[in-house]
Amino acid sequence: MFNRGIDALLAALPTIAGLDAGQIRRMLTAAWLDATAPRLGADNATTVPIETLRRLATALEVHAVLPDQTAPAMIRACAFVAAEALTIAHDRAATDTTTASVDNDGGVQFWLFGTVRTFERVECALLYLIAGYDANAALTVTDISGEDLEDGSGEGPIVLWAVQRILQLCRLAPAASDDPPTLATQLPSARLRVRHELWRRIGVHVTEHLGWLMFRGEADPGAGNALRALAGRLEDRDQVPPRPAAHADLYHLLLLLAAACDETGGRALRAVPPPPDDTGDRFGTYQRHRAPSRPLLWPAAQEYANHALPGPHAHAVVAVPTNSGKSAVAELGISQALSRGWVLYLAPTNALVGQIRRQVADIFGRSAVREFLGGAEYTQLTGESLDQIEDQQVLVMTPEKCSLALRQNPEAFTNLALCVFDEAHLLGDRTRGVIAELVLAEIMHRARQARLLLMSALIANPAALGEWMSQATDTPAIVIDEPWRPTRTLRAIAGIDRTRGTTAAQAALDQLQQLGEHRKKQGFDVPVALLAGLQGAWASQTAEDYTLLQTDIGAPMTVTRQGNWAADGYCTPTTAAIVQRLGDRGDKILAFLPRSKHDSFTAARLTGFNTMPLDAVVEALLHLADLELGAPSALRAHLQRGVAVHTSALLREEQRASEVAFERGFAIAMYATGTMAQGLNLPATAVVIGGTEIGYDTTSSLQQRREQTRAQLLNAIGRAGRAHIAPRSMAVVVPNKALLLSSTADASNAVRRAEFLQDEDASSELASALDGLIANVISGDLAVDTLTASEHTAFSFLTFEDSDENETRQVVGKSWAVHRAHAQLLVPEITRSLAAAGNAFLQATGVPKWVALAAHQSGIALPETASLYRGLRDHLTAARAPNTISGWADLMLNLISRLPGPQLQRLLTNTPYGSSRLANIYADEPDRAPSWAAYRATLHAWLAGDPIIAIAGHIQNKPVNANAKRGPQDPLPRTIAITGDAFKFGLPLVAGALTALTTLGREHDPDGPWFLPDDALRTLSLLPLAIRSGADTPEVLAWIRAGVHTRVAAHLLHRLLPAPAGQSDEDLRRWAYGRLHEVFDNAWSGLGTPAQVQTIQALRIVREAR
Amino acid sequence: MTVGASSVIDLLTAAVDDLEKCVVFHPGIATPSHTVVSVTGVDSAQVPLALGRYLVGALSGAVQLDAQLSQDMLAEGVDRREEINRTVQSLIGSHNLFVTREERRFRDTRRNAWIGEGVAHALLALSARRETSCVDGQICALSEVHETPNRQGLDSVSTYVQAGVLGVAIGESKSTASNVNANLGSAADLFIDVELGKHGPDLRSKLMAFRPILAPGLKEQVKDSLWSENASYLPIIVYQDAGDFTASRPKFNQLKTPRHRRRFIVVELADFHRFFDSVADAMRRAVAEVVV
Repeated sequence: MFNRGIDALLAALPTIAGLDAGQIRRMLTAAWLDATAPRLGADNATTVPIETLRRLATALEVHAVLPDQTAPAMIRACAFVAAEALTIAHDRAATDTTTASVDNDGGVQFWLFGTVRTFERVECALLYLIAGYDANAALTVTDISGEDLEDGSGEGPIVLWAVQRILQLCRLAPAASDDPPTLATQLPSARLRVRHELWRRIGVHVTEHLGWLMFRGEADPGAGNALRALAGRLEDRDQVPPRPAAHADLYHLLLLLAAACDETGGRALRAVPPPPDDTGDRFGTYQRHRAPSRPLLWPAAQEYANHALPGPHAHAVVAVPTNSGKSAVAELGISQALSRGWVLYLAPTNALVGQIRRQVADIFGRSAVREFLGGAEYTQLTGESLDQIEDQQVLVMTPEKCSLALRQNPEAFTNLALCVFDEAHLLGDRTRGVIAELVLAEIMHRARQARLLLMSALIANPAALGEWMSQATDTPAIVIDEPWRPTRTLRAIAGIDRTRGTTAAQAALDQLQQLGEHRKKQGFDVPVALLAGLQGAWASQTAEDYTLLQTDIGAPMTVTRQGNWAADGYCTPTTAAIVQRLGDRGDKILAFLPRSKHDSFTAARLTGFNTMPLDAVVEALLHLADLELGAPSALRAHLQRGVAVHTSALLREEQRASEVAFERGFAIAMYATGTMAQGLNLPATAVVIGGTEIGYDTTSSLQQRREQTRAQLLNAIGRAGRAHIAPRSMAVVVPNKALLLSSTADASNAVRRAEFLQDEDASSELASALDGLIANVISGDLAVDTLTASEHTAFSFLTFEDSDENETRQVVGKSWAVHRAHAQLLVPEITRSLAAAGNAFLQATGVPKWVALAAHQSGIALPETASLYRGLRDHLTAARAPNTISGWADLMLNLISRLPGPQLQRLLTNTPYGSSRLANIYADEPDRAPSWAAYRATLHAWLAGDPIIAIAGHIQNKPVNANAKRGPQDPLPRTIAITGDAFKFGLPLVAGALTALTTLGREHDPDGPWFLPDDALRTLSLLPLAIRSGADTPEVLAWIRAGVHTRVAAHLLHRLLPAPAGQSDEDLRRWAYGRLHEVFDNAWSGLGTPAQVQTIQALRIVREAR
Repeated sequence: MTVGASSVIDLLTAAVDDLEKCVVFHPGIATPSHTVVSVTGVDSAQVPLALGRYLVGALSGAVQLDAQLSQDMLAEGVDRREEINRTVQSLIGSHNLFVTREERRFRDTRRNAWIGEGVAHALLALSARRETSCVDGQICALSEVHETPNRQGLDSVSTYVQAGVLGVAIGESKSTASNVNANLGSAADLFIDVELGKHGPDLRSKLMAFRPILAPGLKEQVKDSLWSENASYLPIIVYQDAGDFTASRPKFNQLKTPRHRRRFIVVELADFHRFFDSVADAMRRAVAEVVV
């Protein structure tokens, strides 16, 4: 359960009679399992008595406070274990129904305030604060109310007043400002008067401390010292014989509070110094705004503040576990960087881009953040081309989108202050890593003053990345490799309990033998057992580091007449059964089914919960999804049963509906593929991983697949647990094939089914996707013909025309691959080799050099750009240029349909086409032609705003017949994949290349056919976005650019409110924006049918919820 | 002791001197479930007076500190003698006439219980002067006697040292004229609760209050003693009609601490009520003797 961060913490524990850190770790984990077992329907014997936990807590809490001059690390370790042990003891008592339970008296004993249990919860919270686990502290006292603190004594009112302030300290929430009550008792004793005053002072000091943390007061009140001094007053050192401190109960509380105030004061956000150029108190404003809700820095942010701020003046690599406050580090960096420029925030997926945009807007305001979704296609359309980047703004986008900005508006990067890269392990991705790496290298080149902040939970070599950035920029880079995490995750593997399974199988066999001979097999449910590690990563093979947990969960199995078991289709139903059980018992589950995007719907059908009705936002998203699909979304029925699905077989509206339903608690469980929910903040108390095989890139090597699997599944495990919701969580792995479990001795066998369980989160050595390219250049083996697809991308990125060789040299010299190859001295040679190879290719193919620049700007490979150049030139020489979007789309398809197979496959991955009518687009002529005809019809249907199910009719060989199911053979998943992969990514890049070619042609080849009529130029410039968005006219596209992101809805609005003729595209966009807001404000009464009005309402609700 | 009036420290020192002259700790006798330590001499004629002064001295120390805190924190003076008198009366009453049922109830469950706790405290204070058979070693820190009549929790927590090794002792006092068995059963229940962790906050508070007085090397050992399940449990019984203390007590056998650390400290009184009345009277008189 404990990761290497906790292991490091436990290493600071004092030696204690007969007990070492490993035993403590096992004890706490086993005790938590004792408390958790009922959730799994298990009937397991208790392994750790509650009194043992309490004894451990007492021993270590006393040790945290009693000795003088104890090392801070030891105090934190003691406080953490004491808090953890007491909290688990409380959890155990709450689930223990035996009469021996220590708490079966209902906690009727009282102590200081409220019951012993209430006091202990506050005590635990203070211990968690002392240990630096503030989120755990807050959670521990979440539901303590004034009623729990009732006290009929004379001290009662002042105790209530003071303890409510202590609770706010534990919750890190502002304290009420009411005055302390006066002593109501007539003729109170000196003792009562003194205790009243002690309580009052406690309340005042705590309030002042909270006020300071939250920027309500100016000077640090030094609450820790004040509370300690108050405790000192209770010590009477003049007595002979010496006497203990008086008012021992308050003395105890004072010492804990003093330590808690010291610890929290040392991590205060307000203690972070402002940047040197903080004009207008921007950072101070941020601190004042943020401190009331997040007054403390977690360790990663604190380290960043200590070593990279003010400024930031240094680059940083933040390699900390999931849920350990990476986004808070970014927030801190942004808050300072905005004082001197703009901030670029890179994230790997559009879903994450959206989430980051929402988070940043919450902190810095909507006007401070811009989100750039979508592809990297070249466009010159105003407002889409990132040509207007203002200072004091945060721009959130994918690396691909950023690569476009770098190509189109490199000058804007001179004012870049900070580049944050979330999920930076994308750098090592074989396909997308190239763009990410080149983007970073170019930023280091163009934005010399900018600082980089790379963040990931999975990187095992952050120091190397830090060296890279430092060497490339002559700027220091810090590495935050802090394993601290506020949550603990138990790793378990699910299998079949051998003993009970044998009994169940025999019973099924007996039944089978009663049936006729025609029955060959009999189904039965086999009991599932969990083999749980009592450590973090399964580093040890020792039996005592594992425990076997019985459950009453049943996995589907069949038995044959020969007595053999068969477990066909075991993994997904077993995963669903575990999810169902955990959800029924109160967990919130993220279930990953990484093998295929289709498995999630299969599992969702097997799962269901009683839950609340969906809210308006989810319903609105589903309405828009229905509209886009042209059929009711299959997701709705699952969401209504409390099950969300998040895969690439869904529309973005459906994915967002799942995210919102899960975030807001309408969905108890979410099934997702491994990568789809990557990085999203989806709070879960348990993770179930259904299968250890992931959907591979077909060109991956065995080793690469192993690495991909490990990274993806460790990432999945890291998603379990959320600091403010569930500090302890469980990650259960269900192997693809059933595993028989008899005892803990099976651990060594089990781990072979899920090798990644042995690794910590951060275990992936990040390589460079350009390693091979650079190695080939250095060895003289560079040949354009043999480059991989991603190397082609890099090649076109790096082969500028001659005058830009210095630019290339700079970018190459700052690449991760060159750093890894220790090839800085070879950079000129590498650059020359790349240029020479590019020139040789251009010469051999007979195309001018500026085509390389077009390839660079459009982001597609040089050979494809050269082919497109020739085709386009020929067409424009011989015929009129198209003057409509559809006409350009046809020309584009004509051009690419003639491309050689390898070039085509680099542009349009063949993954989604399968056995569809489009499958032969890569074939040789004449077999290609029918597929391209179907492709053309499909694209036109997409542009015309036909719903997805209608588009499917052009793709499927069989009639669609309104089949809206989401199985692997059903039409919708494939159609969504094709429109998502090709129409939203591949084809817009090609369209961008046509735009770049004509633009550069006019500049470099004035005698060529590049000077087009205005209407042709206009529609060509719209083409990339029109294809990605699904619009066949400038008017429809205007609605999309105005914010109607659902394609069919944009077409609908165009029909309802046709735009006036003769407007420029920018005027059209403004016109549509104005009408859209009028429509949202109901200014157009009677517009459309009730269903159409409902669509407009859905658009408004979704927009407001963004 | 012959002083007419004395400081708190002097009063306490002299009282313990007097007690030490009278009280005899006999070696422990092992039984199957516990060890019995008999203490004699408590019903000597001089003891009630010394004990009364000891207890008033102990209470006065706490009152003095509260008075000082009141002065320092509230700038309010305290009539210390009146405060001590008030505290004493709240604990033992103003007279020894117990006619009504309620008065007798006060005598048996409040006054005698508190004085019994005082006896136990005094015996442990003696064990802090020199090694006695109460614990295996010499007591080095002892929790304060309670100042309020209606309180819950542990009667006493102390630490002791033998050969440099620290132990924790938990005391539970019982005063009963004739109901020894029931009181022992009740004490055993408390110790079981202690082992179950029910008194965690109380135990932690009392141990942390030793922070100003325990030597650094001993502070380091408290965690080991707490973890190793070998605390000393000291039921301290003040009684008149003897019970069979050597009989095996199954409840005490449930305790995890070793048998030789389950010590019944038994104090037999020839005249139970007269002893308590005498101590109460001595306390009332001692209020006037202490200089505050």
